[in-house]
Amino acid sequence: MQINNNGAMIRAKAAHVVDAVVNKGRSLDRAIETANIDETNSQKSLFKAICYGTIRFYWELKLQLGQYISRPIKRKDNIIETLLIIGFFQIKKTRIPSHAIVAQTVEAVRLLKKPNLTAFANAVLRNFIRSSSKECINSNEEAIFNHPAWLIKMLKNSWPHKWQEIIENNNIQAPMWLRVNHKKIATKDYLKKIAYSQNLSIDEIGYIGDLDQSICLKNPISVKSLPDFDNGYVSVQDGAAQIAVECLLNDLGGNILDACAAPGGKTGQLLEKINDDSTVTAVDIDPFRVEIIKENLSRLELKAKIITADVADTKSWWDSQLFDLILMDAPCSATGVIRRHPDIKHLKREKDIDALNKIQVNIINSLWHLLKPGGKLLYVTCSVLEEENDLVIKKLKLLHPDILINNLLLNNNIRDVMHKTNYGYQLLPGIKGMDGFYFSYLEKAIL
Amino acid sequence: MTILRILEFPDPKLRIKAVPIETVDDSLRVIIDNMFETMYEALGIGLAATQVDFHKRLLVADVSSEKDDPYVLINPRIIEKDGSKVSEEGCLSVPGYFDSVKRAETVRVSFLDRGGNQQEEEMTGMLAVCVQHEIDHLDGKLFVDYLSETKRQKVRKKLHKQKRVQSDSSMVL
Repeated sequence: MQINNNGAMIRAKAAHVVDAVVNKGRSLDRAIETANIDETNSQKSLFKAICYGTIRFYWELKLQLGQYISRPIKRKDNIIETLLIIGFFQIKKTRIPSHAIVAQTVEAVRLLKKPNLTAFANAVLRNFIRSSSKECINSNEEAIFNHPAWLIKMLKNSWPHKWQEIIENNNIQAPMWLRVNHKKIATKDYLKKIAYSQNLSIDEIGYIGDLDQSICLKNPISVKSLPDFDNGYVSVQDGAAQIAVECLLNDLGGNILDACAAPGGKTGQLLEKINDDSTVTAVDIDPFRVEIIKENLSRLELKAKIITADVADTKSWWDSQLFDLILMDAPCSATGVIRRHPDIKHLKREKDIDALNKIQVNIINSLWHLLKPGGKLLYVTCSVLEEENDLVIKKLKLLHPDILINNLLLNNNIRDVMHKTNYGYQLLPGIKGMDGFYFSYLEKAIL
Repeated sequence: MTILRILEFPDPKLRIKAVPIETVDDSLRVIIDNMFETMYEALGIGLAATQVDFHKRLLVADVSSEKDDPYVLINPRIIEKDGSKVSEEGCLSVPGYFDSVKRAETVRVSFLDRGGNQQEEEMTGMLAVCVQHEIDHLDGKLFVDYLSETKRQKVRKKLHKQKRVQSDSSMVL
């Protein structure tokens, strides 16, 4: 039997989620799924907001908690430390009444089977609530910026004049973006459809982005409430991710490869745009994620040749037909989408960046041989680090003499907000509401 | 210790009637310990063996707020009932659903304890509600059986939807 102590229960579960991410290296999505909160639970959105927010501001909150306890919490009671950090988040960053935060947190201490710490938790939270200033005053960069030191260092190195702006935007929650399937409906008509289904005006729902398929929502809407989602009218995809296929419009046709295709967002968009005489081959290494490509394409009623393989191991999957066009959405640090996935700040390590650079160079180098002379390859990452962007292209250029760097053909509204780098273009996170992405458009010279 | 998988409504195995336990030995005590671990982990206050797919008459409970008052009831039997009281119940096998159920206010229960010793105890308050709820499980009964058919249908749909939504989340790119 179970009794309804929902408020305490979601806080206890949030403590497990934050602990899993910060101390055990699990992904936030996975940890939230494991927490198994009922979808119809009235406090599910609060639960998610608490998990995301605490992960986002973890460094500052942890440091402040330290200032309110006289000696460190015992290792075996780590989970209570995390629960109190979650309490500090609610006190600082939400409008939940403080008496409710204290009551539910103390009850959560009991649910976490640490009854001897209830009085302690109560006192710490009350002291923080009573304190006149809740600002975090210190000189610790991690706590000021809520990013790990290694990443702050790398951002400073890649973006000497922009790193602070990047960090600020990383700590702001991202809006929800949609991509409308023009084979089914026009963007403005779909926007009307959502407004109608939500019983709100178009202005209250959102606006059409600078890309003609994109809608940016003012407030997120659950996927199951999106009209005709199951019928393939729309996909959930950030505006920046939609730029990739947009860049290719003038060259779209022939034998096309979508490398590292899962979960199939760009694959679907390619198929929405091509003519009947073109073919798209989508390759991904992860069998589970390949299933997601298949689900997404079947929902959109689109067809591609889908292969599960390590795309760099071309012998294992390639049919020796050269490609006219390759879209390579490289595996990367995802440092451009931290505002959407704040757990990246906890999960990635400095040494990962070097390893990713090697993987990226290996894949792009293997794919270069598969490209027709005169063919084009768009290299895309959702990273803002030059190690994964310009420096990959730089290494590739040393290996191949036949590389030309192309300009991106995009509408000015988007091109104007991108930063031109040595070999490509960088969109920084939060600009025009979009994620941080890097694009480099290469052409194989006919020698 | 092991966290056991809890069966969820409308799993037909929840309808199996549990059989009495003949000997209380160490192998049974391992199951008891695992059941406690599972119950505490799931933030429950009671758990019947049926719910973890072990169809013997055994239940564990701990209704204390400090989680320091564990009860083990082997072959429990209600020998007296008194009064009636409506309280809100939830069940680890019907996650996320709570509703009011009317039960006896006080019950007298005979059972074997963890050591296999015969006991008899008068129970009241939350413990009485919990023990009646768990004994129902051993008889293949769920608290949603006390609700109207329309409500029960709603619960079934809700649980079904939950499962679907979980698999849906993979659709977000």
